[in-house]
Amino acid sequence: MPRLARPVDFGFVVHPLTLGQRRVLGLRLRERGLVQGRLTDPGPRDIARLSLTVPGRASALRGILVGIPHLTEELLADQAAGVEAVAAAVRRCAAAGARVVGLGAVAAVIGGQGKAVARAVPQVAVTTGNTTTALAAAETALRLQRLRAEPSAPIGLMGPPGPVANALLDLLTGQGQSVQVVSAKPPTPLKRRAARINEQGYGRVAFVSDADAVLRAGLPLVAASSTGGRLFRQALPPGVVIDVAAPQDVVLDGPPRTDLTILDGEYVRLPSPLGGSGWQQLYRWITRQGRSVFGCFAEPMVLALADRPDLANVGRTIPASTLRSVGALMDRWGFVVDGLHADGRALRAPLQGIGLRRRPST
Amino acid sequence: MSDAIFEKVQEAFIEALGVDDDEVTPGASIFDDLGAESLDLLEIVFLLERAFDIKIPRGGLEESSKEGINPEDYEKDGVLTQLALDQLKALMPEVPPEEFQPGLTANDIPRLFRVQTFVHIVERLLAEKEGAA
Repeated sequence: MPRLARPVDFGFVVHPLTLGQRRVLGLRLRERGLVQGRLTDPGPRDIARLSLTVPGRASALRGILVGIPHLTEELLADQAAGVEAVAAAVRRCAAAGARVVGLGAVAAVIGGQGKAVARAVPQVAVTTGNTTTALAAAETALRLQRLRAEPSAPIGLMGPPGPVANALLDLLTGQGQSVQVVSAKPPTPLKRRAARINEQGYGRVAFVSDADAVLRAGLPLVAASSTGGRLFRQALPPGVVIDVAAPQDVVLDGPPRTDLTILDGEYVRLPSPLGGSGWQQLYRWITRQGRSVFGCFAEPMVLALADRPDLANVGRTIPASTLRSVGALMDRWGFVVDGLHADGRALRAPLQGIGLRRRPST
Repeated sequence: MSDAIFEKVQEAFIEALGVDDDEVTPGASIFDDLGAESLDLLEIVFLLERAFDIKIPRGGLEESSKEGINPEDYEKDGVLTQLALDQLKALMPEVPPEEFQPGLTANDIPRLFRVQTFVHIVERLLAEKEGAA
Protein backbone atom coordinates (compact mmCIF):
# COMPACT_ATOMS: atom_id res chain seq x y z
CA MET A 1 0.00 0.00 0.00
CA PRO A 2 1.74 3.20 -1.10
CA ARG A 3 2.17 5.79 1.62
CA LEU A 4 0.26 8.96 0.82
CA ALA A 5 2.25 12.15 1.12
CA ARG A 6 0.98 14.68 3.62
CA PRO A 7 -0.75 17.67 2.11
CA VAL A 8 1.42 20.71 1.63
CA ASP A 9 0.73 24.30 2.56
CA PHE A 10 2.51 26.09 -0.26
CA GLY A 11 3.99 25.44 -3.66
CA PHE A 12 6.61 27.03 -5.87
CA VAL A 13 7.00 26.62 -9.61
CA VAL A 14 10.51 26.62 -11.01
CA HIS A 15 12.06 26.25 -14.42
CA PRO A 16 15.68 25.94 -15.56
CA LEU A 17 17.47 29.18 -16.34
CA THR A 18 20.33 27.52 -18.20
CA LEU A 19 20.84 24.45 -20.28
CA GLY A 20 22.97 23.02 -17.48
CA GLN A 21 20.11 23.37 -15.04
CA ARG A 22 17.82 21.65 -17.54
CA ARG A 23 20.21 18.72 -17.70
CA VAL A 24 20.19 18.43 -13.90
CA LEU A 25 16.40 18.57 -13.98
CA GLY A 26 16.50 15.78 -16.53
CA LEU A 27 18.54 13.68 -14.11
CA ARG A 28 16.05 14.37 -11.36
CA LEU A 29 13.11 13.45 -13.56
CA ARG A 30 14.94 10.64 -15.34
CA GLU A 31 14.11 12.19 -18.70
CA ARG A 32 16.79 11.43 -21.25
CA GLY A 33 15.75 14.21 -23.60
CA LEU A 34 16.17 16.82 -20.87
CA VAL A 35 19.54 15.39 -19.88
CA GLN A 36 20.55 15.82 -23.49
CA GLY A 37 19.37 19.44 -23.36
CA ARG A 38 16.27 19.07 -25.51
CA LEU A 39 12.84 20.33 -24.56
CA THR A 40 11.00 17.10 -24.08
CA ASP A 41 8.03 17.95 -21.93
CA PRO A 42 6.94 15.31 -19.46
CA GLY A 43 4.56 17.84 -17.93
CA PRO A 44 5.05 19.43 -14.53
CA ARG A 45 6.82 17.18 -12.10
CA ASP A 46 7.58 17.19 -8.41
CA ILE A 47 11.15 18.19 -7.69
CA ALA A 48 11.25 18.20 -3.92
CA ARG A 49 9.18 18.34 -0.78
CA LEU A 50 10.05 21.13 1.62
CA SER A 51 9.56 21.71 5.30
CA LEU A 52 10.06 24.76 7.45
CA THR A 53 9.99 24.77 11.23
CA VAL A 54 8.53 28.00 12.50
CA PRO A 55 8.66 29.08 16.17
CA GLY A 56 5.14 29.43 17.50
CA ARG A 57 3.68 26.90 15.11
CA ALA A 58 2.95 23.36 16.24
CA SER A 59 3.69 21.66 12.96
CA ALA A 60 6.21 22.39 10.24
CA LEU A 61 5.11 24.36 7.22
CA ARG A 62 5.15 22.01 4.25
CA GLY A 63 5.79 22.87 0.66
CA ILE A 64 6.34 21.39 -2.74
CA LEU A 65 8.68 22.44 -5.51
CA VAL A 66 7.27 21.65 -8.96
CA GLY A 67 9.34 22.06 -12.09
CA ILE A 68 8.67 22.59 -15.76
CA PRO A 69 11.49 22.02 -18.22
CA HIS A 70 11.17 25.18 -20.30
CA LEU A 71 14.02 27.66 -20.57
CA THR A 72 13.34 31.37 -20.40
CA GLU A 73 13.39 31.95 -24.13
CA GLU A 74 11.03 29.02 -24.71
CA LEU A 75 8.47 30.43 -22.32
CA LEU A 76 8.73 33.86 -23.91
CA ALA A 77 8.56 32.62 -27.50
CA ASP A 78 5.09 31.14 -27.10
CA GLN A 79 3.38 32.75 -24.18
CA ALA A 80 0.11 30.90 -24.57
CA ALA A 81 1.91 27.56 -24.33
CA GLY A 82 4.07 28.93 -21.53
CA VAL A 83 1.06 30.06 -19.53
CA GLU A 84 -0.51 26.62 -19.90
CA ALA A 85 2.71 24.91 -18.81
CA VAL A 86 2.95 27.10 -15.71
CA ALA A 87 -0.75 26.71 -14.98
CA ALA A 88 -0.37 22.93 -15.15
CA ALA A 89 2.42 23.16 -12.59
CA VAL A 90 0.25 25.32 -10.34
CA ARG A 91 -2.57 22.75 -10.59
CA ARG A 92 -0.12 20.09 -9.51
CA CYS A 93 0.84 22.16 -6.47
CA ALA A 94 -2.84 22.67 -5.69
CA ALA A 95 -3.49 18.94 -6.02
CA ALA A 96 -0.79 18.38 -3.40
CA GLY A 97 -2.69 20.67 -1.04
CA ALA A 98 -1.01 24.03 -1.61
CA ARG A 99 -3.13 27.03 -0.69
CA VAL A 100 -0.63 29.51 -2.12
CA VAL A 101 1.69 28.96 -5.08
CA GLY A 102 4.63 31.16 -5.95
CA LEU A 103 5.98 31.63 -9.44
CA GLY A 104 9.74 31.78 -9.95
CA ALA A 105 11.71 33.56 -12.66
CA VAL A 106 9.94 33.92 -16.02
CA ALA A 107 6.97 31.93 -14.82
CA ALA A 108 6.11 35.08 -12.93
CA VAL A 109 6.46 37.26 -16.01
CA ILE A 110 4.52 35.65 -18.81
CA GLY A 111 0.83 36.14 -19.29
CA GLY A 112 0.75 39.59 -17.78
CA GLN A 113 2.99 38.99 -14.76
CA GLY A 114 1.07 35.98 -13.60
CA LYS A 115 -2.45 37.24 -14.27
CA ALA A 116 -3.21 34.70 -16.97
CA VAL A 117 -1.95 31.85 -14.78
CA ALA A 118 -4.03 33.08 -11.86
CA ARG A 119 -7.13 33.19 -14.08
CA ALA A 120 -6.41 29.69 -15.37
CA VAL A 121 -6.15 28.24 -11.86
CA PRO A 122 -8.69 30.13 -9.76
CA GLN A 123 -8.88 27.44 -7.09
CA VAL A 124 -5.52 28.42 -5.61
CA ALA A 125 -3.84 31.74 -4.80
CA VAL A 126 -1.03 32.48 -7.24
CA THR A 127 1.61 35.03 -6.41
CA THR A 128 4.61 36.40 -8.28
CA GLY A 129 6.68 37.13 -5.20
CA ASN A 130 7.18 40.76 -6.22
CA THR A 131 5.82 42.01 -2.89
CA THR A 132 8.37 40.23 -0.75
CA THR A 133 11.11 40.95 -3.25
CA ALA A 134 10.39 44.68 -3.04
CA LEU A 135 10.24 44.57 0.76
CA ALA A 136 13.53 42.69 0.97
CA ALA A 137 15.20 45.03 -1.49
CA ALA A 138 13.99 48.11 0.37
CA GLU A 139 15.26 46.80 3.68
CA THR A 140 18.59 45.88 2.08
CA ALA A 141 18.94 49.38 0.64
CA LEU A 142 17.97 51.08 3.90
CA ARG A 143 20.34 48.82 5.82
CA LEU A 144 23.17 49.80 3.49
CA GLN A 145 22.30 53.47 3.85
CA ARG A 146 22.55 53.22 7.65
CA LEU A 147 26.15 52.00 7.23
CA ARG A 148 27.17 54.86 5.01
CA ALA A 149 29.10 57.92 6.00
CA GLU A 150 26.16 60.04 4.78
CA PRO A 151 23.00 58.07 5.44
CA SER A 152 20.81 61.01 4.49
CA ALA A 153 22.22 61.16 0.97
CA PRO A 154 19.98 60.02 -1.88
CA ILE A 155 20.02 56.52 -3.29
CA GLY A 156 19.78 55.73 -6.97
CA LEU A 157 17.00 53.52 -8.34
CA MET A 158 16.86 51.96 -11.76
CA GLY A 159 13.77 50.11 -12.92
CA PRO A 160 10.57 52.18 -12.70
CA PRO A 161 7.93 51.65 -14.04
CA GLY A 162 8.47 47.94 -13.35
CA PRO A 163 6.40 46.55 -10.44
CA VAL A 164 9.27 45.87 -8.03
CA ALA A 165 10.96 49.18 -8.81
CA ASN A 166 7.71 51.12 -8.45
CA ALA A 167 7.07 49.49 -5.09
CA LEU A 168 10.65 50.28 -4.05
CA LEU A 169 10.11 53.92 -4.92
CA ASP A 170 7.14 54.06 -2.58
CA LEU A 171 8.83 52.06 0.17
CA LEU A 172 12.07 54.05 0.16
CA THR A 173 10.50 57.50 0.00
CA GLY A 174 7.95 56.46 2.59
CA GLN A 175 10.85 55.92 4.96
CA GLY A 176 12.14 59.40 4.25
CA GLN A 177 14.78 58.21 1.82
CA SER A 178 15.33 60.47 -1.16
CA VAL A 179 15.68 58.68 -4.45
CA GLN A 180 17.24 59.52 -7.77
CA VAL A 181 15.37 57.58 -10.43
CA VAL A 182 17.44 56.63 -13.45
CA SER A 183 15.43 57.61 -16.50
CA ALA A 184 16.73 59.46 -19.52
CA LYS A 185 13.19 60.39 -20.53
CA PRO A 186 10.74 59.85 -17.67
CA PRO A 187 7.36 58.76 -18.98
CA THR A 188 4.34 60.86 -18.09
CA PRO A 189 2.86 58.41 -15.53
CA LEU A 190 6.22 58.21 -13.73
CA LYS A 191 6.53 61.99 -13.60
CA ARG A 192 3.03 62.16 -12.12
CA ARG A 193 3.97 59.51 -9.57
CA ALA A 194 7.10 61.43 -8.59
CA ALA A 195 5.13 64.64 -8.23
CA ARG A 196 2.60 62.89 -5.94
CA ILE A 197 5.40 61.49 -3.79
CA ASN A 198 7.09 64.89 -3.54
CA GLU A 199 3.82 66.47 -2.45
CA GLN A 200 3.67 64.05 0.48
CA GLY A 201 6.79 65.56 1.96
CA TYR A 202 8.74 62.45 2.91
CA GLY A 203 11.62 61.33 0.71
CA ARG A 204 12.00 63.28 -2.49
CA VAL A 205 12.22 61.95 -6.01
CA ALA A 206 14.48 63.43 -8.65
CA PHE A 207 15.43 62.11 -12.07
CA VAL A 208 18.91 61.41 -13.32
CA SER A 209 19.77 60.43 -16.85
CA ASP A 210 21.85 57.32 -16.37
CA ALA A 211 23.15 54.85 -13.80
CA ASP A 212 26.75 56.00 -14.18
CA ALA A 213 25.81 59.45 -12.87
CA VAL A 214 24.52 57.90 -9.65
CA LEU A 215 27.70 55.95 -9.04
CA ARG A 216 29.97 58.83 -10.02
CA ALA A 217 28.26 60.92 -7.38
CA GLY A 218 29.26 58.33 -4.78
CA LEU A 219 25.69 57.13 -4.28
CA PRO A 220 24.64 53.48 -4.18
CA LEU A 221 22.40 52.23 -6.97
CA VAL A 222 19.48 49.86 -6.57
CA ALA A 223 19.05 48.07 -9.89
CA ALA A 224 15.56 46.60 -10.05
CA SER A 225 14.53 46.45 -13.68
CA SER A 226 12.15 43.71 -14.78
CA THR A 227 14.19 42.67 -17.80
CA GLY A 228 17.70 42.61 -16.39
CA GLY A 229 20.94 42.92 -18.34
CA ARG A 230 20.98 46.69 -18.28
CA LEU A 231 24.43 47.27 -16.79
CA PHE A 232 27.86 45.85 -17.54
CA ARG A 233 30.22 45.28 -14.64
CA GLN A 234 33.36 46.28 -16.47
CA ALA A 235 31.88 49.56 -17.68
CA LEU A 236 30.39 50.78 -14.39
CA PRO A 237 32.10 53.46 -12.32
CA PRO A 238 33.33 52.38 -8.87
CA GLY A 239 30.70 52.06 -6.16
CA VAL A 240 27.95 49.84 -4.83
CA VAL A 241 25.08 48.31 -6.77
CA ILE A 242 22.23 46.40 -5.16
CA ASP A 243 21.03 44.04 -7.87
CA VAL A 244 17.48 42.97 -7.19
CA ALA A 245 16.19 39.57 -8.30
CA ALA A 246 16.65 37.53 -11.44
CA PRO A 247 17.20 38.36 -14.19
CA GLN A 248 20.20 40.22 -12.84
CA ASP A 249 20.69 43.77 -14.00
CA VAL A 250 24.47 43.64 -13.83
CA VAL A 251 25.99 41.50 -16.54
CA LEU A 252 29.10 39.95 -15.03
CA ASP A 253 31.41 40.49 -17.95
CA GLY A 254 35.07 40.26 -17.12
CA PRO A 255 36.67 39.52 -13.75
CA PRO A 256 35.36 40.78 -10.40
CA ARG A 257 36.44 44.27 -9.39
CA THR A 258 37.71 45.43 -6.05
CA ASP A 259 36.28 48.92 -6.53
CA LEU A 260 32.74 47.83 -7.36
CA THR A 261 30.57 45.83 -4.97
CA ILE A 262 27.44 44.11 -6.20
CA LEU A 263 25.07 43.17 -3.42
CA ASP A 264 22.16 40.79 -3.70
CA GLY A 265 18.97 42.71 -3.27
CA GLU A 266 16.35 40.16 -2.43
CA TYR A 267 17.46 37.72 0.24
CA VAL A 268 15.17 36.97 3.17
CA ARG A 269 16.34 34.97 6.17
CA LEU A 270 13.93 32.23 7.10
CA PRO A 271 12.96 31.50 10.71
CA SER A 272 14.91 28.24 10.42
CA PRO A 273 16.87 26.41 7.73
CA LEU A 274 14.70 25.00 4.98
CA GLY A 275 14.49 21.25 5.18
CA GLY A 276 13.19 18.57 2.91
CA SER A 277 14.08 15.74 0.63
CA GLY A 278 17.54 15.15 -0.78
CA TRP A 279 16.60 16.92 -3.98
CA GLN A 280 15.75 20.02 -1.94
CA GLN A 281 19.37 20.09 -0.90
CA LEU A 282 20.46 19.88 -4.51
CA TYR A 283 18.14 22.79 -5.35
CA ARG A 284 19.59 24.63 -2.39
CA TRP A 285 23.11 24.07 -3.68
CA ILE A 286 22.30 25.11 -7.23
CA THR A 287 20.42 28.25 -6.25
CA ARG A 288 22.37 29.11 -3.07
CA GLN A 289 19.17 29.32 -1.09
CA GLY A 290 19.18 27.58 2.27
CA ARG A 291 18.68 29.63 5.40
CA SER A 292 18.30 32.76 3.29
CA VAL A 293 16.16 32.58 0.18
CA PHE A 294 14.96 34.88 -2.56
CA GLY A 295 12.01 37.02 -1.60
CA CYS A 296 9.82 35.46 -4.29
CA PHE A 297 10.49 32.02 -2.80
CA ALA A 298 9.69 33.22 0.71
CA GLU A 299 6.43 34.85 -0.26
CA PRO A 300 4.20 31.77 -0.65
CA MET A 301 5.67 30.49 2.63
CA VAL A 302 4.71 33.67 4.49
CA LEU A 303 1.23 33.81 3.01
CA ALA A 304 0.53 30.13 3.68
CA LEU A 305 1.91 30.40 7.20
CA ALA A 306 -0.33 33.34 7.98
CA ASP A 307 -3.24 31.82 6.06
CA ARG A 308 -3.49 34.97 3.98
CA PRO A 309 -3.92 33.80 0.39
CA ASP A 310 -5.79 37.05 -0.20
CA LEU A 311 -2.44 38.86 -0.15
CA ALA A 312 -1.22 36.95 -3.20
CA ASN A 313 -0.35 39.41 -5.93
CA VAL A 314 -0.07 39.20 -9.71
CA GLY A 315 0.18 41.91 -12.34
CA ARG A 316 2.22 45.07 -12.56
CA THR A 317 0.85 46.86 -9.49
CA ILE A 318 1.47 46.03 -5.85
CA PRO A 319 -1.05 47.85 -3.66
CA ALA A 320 0.42 49.80 -0.77
CA SER A 321 -1.88 47.91 1.60
CA THR A 322 -0.42 44.60 0.37
CA LEU A 323 3.10 45.85 0.96
CA ARG A 324 2.20 46.91 4.50
CA SER A 325 0.36 43.71 5.31
CA VAL A 326 2.99 41.34 3.95
CA GLY A 327 5.72 43.36 5.64
CA ALA A 328 3.92 43.00 8.96
CA LEU A 329 3.52 39.25 8.43
CA MET A 330 7.21 38.88 7.67
CA ASP A 331 8.04 40.63 10.93
CA ARG A 332 5.49 38.57 12.83
CA TRP A 333 6.77 35.20 11.58
CA GLY A 334 10.48 35.89 11.54
CA PHE A 335 11.20 36.35 7.84
CA VAL A 336 13.80 39.07 8.02
CA VAL A 337 16.51 40.87 6.15
CA ASP A 338 19.24 40.61 8.71
CA GLY A 339 22.37 41.34 6.74
CA LEU A 340 23.88 42.02 3.39
CA HIS A 341 24.61 39.37 0.80
CA ALA A 342 26.86 39.29 -2.20
CA ASP A 343 26.99 36.46 -4.71
CA GLY A 344 24.63 34.40 -2.56
CA ARG A 345 26.82 34.61 0.54
CA ALA A 346 26.21 36.63 3.69
CA LEU A 347 28.83 39.29 4.28
CA ARG A 348 30.47 38.42 7.57
CA ALA A 349 31.34 41.93 8.62
CA PRO A 350 29.03 44.79 7.76
CA LEU A 351 31.64 46.70 5.81
CA GLN A 352 33.57 43.78 4.39
CA GLY A 353 33.92 44.22 0.66
CA ILE A 354 31.31 46.95 0.55
CA GLY A 355 33.61 49.52 -0.94
CA LEU A 356 31.71 52.40 0.65
CA ARG A 357 33.03 55.72 -0.34
CA ARG A 358 32.57 59.15 0.99
CA ARG A 359 31.18 61.65 -1.41
CA PRO A 360 34.05 63.70 -2.84
CA SER A 361 34.50 66.92 -0.91
CA THR A 362 34.31 70.08 -2.94
CA MET B 1 -8.58 52.26 -39.16
CA SER B 2 -11.40 49.99 -38.06
CA ASP B 3 -13.10 51.24 -34.91
CA ALA B 4 -13.71 47.67 -33.79
CA ILE B 5 -10.03 46.81 -34.07
CA PHE B 6 -8.97 50.00 -32.31
CA GLU B 7 -11.38 49.36 -29.44
CA LYS B 8 -9.99 45.86 -28.85
CA VAL B 9 -6.43 47.17 -29.03
CA GLN B 10 -7.39 49.92 -26.61
CA GLU B 11 -8.83 47.33 -24.19
CA ALA B 12 -5.57 45.40 -24.30
CA PHE B 13 -3.60 48.50 -23.36
CA ILE B 14 -6.00 49.39 -20.58
CA GLU B 15 -5.76 45.90 -19.11
CA ALA B 16 -1.98 45.67 -19.47
CA LEU B 17 -1.06 49.12 -18.24
CA GLY B 18 -3.93 50.09 -15.96
CA VAL B 19 -4.40 53.39 -17.76
CA ASP B 20 -7.65 55.18 -18.50
CA ASP B 21 -9.35 54.80 -21.87
CA ASP B 22 -8.98 58.50 -22.66
CA GLU B 23 -5.19 58.11 -22.38
CA VAL B 24 -5.05 55.34 -24.98
CA THR B 25 -5.28 57.40 -28.13
CA PRO B 26 -3.97 56.26 -31.50
CA GLY B 27 -1.00 58.60 -31.33
CA ALA B 28 -0.06 57.86 -27.71
CA SER B 29 3.50 56.68 -27.28
CA ILE B 30 3.35 53.42 -25.36
CA PHE B 31 6.51 54.16 -23.41
CA ASP B 32 6.55 57.93 -22.98
CA ASP B 33 2.82 58.63 -22.68
CA LEU B 34 1.44 55.39 -21.28
CA GLY B 35 4.41 54.41 -19.09
CA ALA B 36 4.89 50.90 -20.47
CA GLU B 37 8.07 48.98 -19.90
CA SER B 38 9.43 46.31 -22.20
CA LEU B 39 7.79 43.49 -20.24
CA ASP B 40 4.44 45.14 -20.79
CA LEU B 41 4.94 44.56 -24.50
CA LEU B 42 4.85 40.85 -23.76
CA GLU B 43 1.49 41.16 -22.10
CA ILE B 44 0.09 43.46 -24.78
CA VAL B 45 1.12 41.00 -27.48
CA PHE B 46 -0.35 38.12 -25.47
CA LEU B 47 -3.67 39.93 -25.05
CA LEU B 48 -3.86 40.93 -28.72
CA GLU B 49 -3.05 37.40 -29.87
CA ARG B 50 -5.93 36.09 -27.78
CA ALA B 51 -8.34 38.86 -28.73
CA PHE B 52 -7.79 38.49 -32.46
CA ASP B 53 -6.70 34.84 -32.70
CA ILE B 54 -3.49 35.81 -34.44
CA LYS B 55 0.19 35.19 -33.89
CA ILE B 56 2.32 38.32 -33.62
CA PRO B 57 5.93 37.49 -34.50
CA ARG B 58 8.47 38.94 -32.10
CA GLY B 59 10.61 41.57 -33.75
CA GLY B 60 8.24 41.59 -36.71
CA LEU B 61 8.57 45.29 -37.41
CA GLU B 62 12.32 45.15 -37.25
CA GLU B 63 12.36 42.21 -39.62
CA SER B 64 9.97 43.99 -42.02
CA SER B 65 12.21 47.03 -42.01
CA LYS B 66 15.11 44.85 -43.19
CA GLU B 67 13.32 43.69 -46.33
CA GLY B 68 15.24 44.59 -49.44
CA ILE B 69 18.27 45.85 -47.52
CA ASN B 70 21.56 44.03 -47.36
CA PRO B 71 22.42 43.24 -43.72
CA GLU B 72 25.60 45.26 -43.91
CA ASP B 73 23.59 48.27 -45.12
CA TYR B 74 21.04 48.01 -42.28
CA GLU B 75 23.25 48.62 -39.28
CA LYS B 76 26.76 49.96 -38.92
CA ASP B 77 28.47 49.43 -35.55
CA GLY B 78 25.07 48.67 -34.04
CA VAL B 79 23.51 51.91 -35.27
CA LEU B 80 20.71 51.91 -37.83
CA THR B 81 21.64 53.42 -41.16
CA GLN B 82 19.64 56.15 -42.86
CA LEU B 83 18.34 53.47 -45.23
CA ALA B 84 16.99 51.51 -42.28
CA LEU B 85 15.51 54.65 -40.72
CA ASP B 86 13.77 55.54 -43.98
CA GLN B 87 12.34 52.01 -44.19
CA LEU B 88 11.08 52.22 -40.60
CA LYS B 89 9.60 55.65 -41.26
CA ALA B 90 7.60 54.19 -44.14
CA LEU B 91 6.42 51.26 -42.03
CA MET B 92 5.37 53.49 -39.13
CA PRO B 93 3.68 56.60 -40.56
CA GLU B 94 2.00 57.14 -37.18
CA VAL B 95 5.35 58.12 -35.66
CA PRO B 96 6.45 61.75 -36.17
CA PRO B 97 9.29 61.70 -38.75
CA GLU B 98 11.55 63.74 -36.50
CA GLU B 99 11.76 60.80 -34.07
CA PHE B 100 13.72 58.74 -36.59
CA GLN B 101 16.96 60.34 -35.53
CA PRO B 102 20.44 59.23 -36.57
CA GLY B 103 22.00 57.18 -33.80
CA LEU B 104 19.00 54.93 -33.19
CA THR B 105 19.71 51.24 -32.62
CA ALA B 106 17.51 48.22 -33.22
CA ASN B 107 16.81 48.12 -29.48
CA ASP B 108 15.36 51.63 -29.74
CA ILE B 109 12.68 50.63 -32.25
CA PRO B 110 10.03 49.62 -29.66
CA ARG B 111 10.41 53.01 -28.02
CA LEU B 112 8.96 54.55 -31.19
CA PHE B 113 5.77 52.49 -30.97
CA ARG B 114 2.41 54.15 -30.77
CA VAL B 115 -0.94 52.54 -30.01
CA GLN B 116 -1.67 52.87 -33.71
CA THR B 117 1.43 50.81 -34.48
CA PHE B 118 -0.30 47.83 -32.90
CA VAL B 119 -3.54 48.59 -34.69
CA HIS B 120 -1.65 48.45 -37.98
CA ILE B 121 0.06 45.20 -36.98
CA VAL B 122 -3.29 43.61 -36.13
CA GLU B 123 -4.88 44.86 -39.35
CA ARG B 124 -2.04 43.44 -41.41
CA LEU B 125 -2.08 40.06 -39.71
CA LEU B 126 -5.85 39.78 -39.98
CA ALA B 127 -5.64 40.58 -43.68
CA GLU B 128 -2.93 37.94 -44.13
CA LYS B 129 -5.05 35.42 -42.25
CA GLU B 130 -8.05 36.21 -44.40
CA GLY B 131 -5.98 35.90 -47.53
CA ALA B 132 -4.65 32.53 -46.45
CA ALA B 133 -8.13 31.18 -45.66
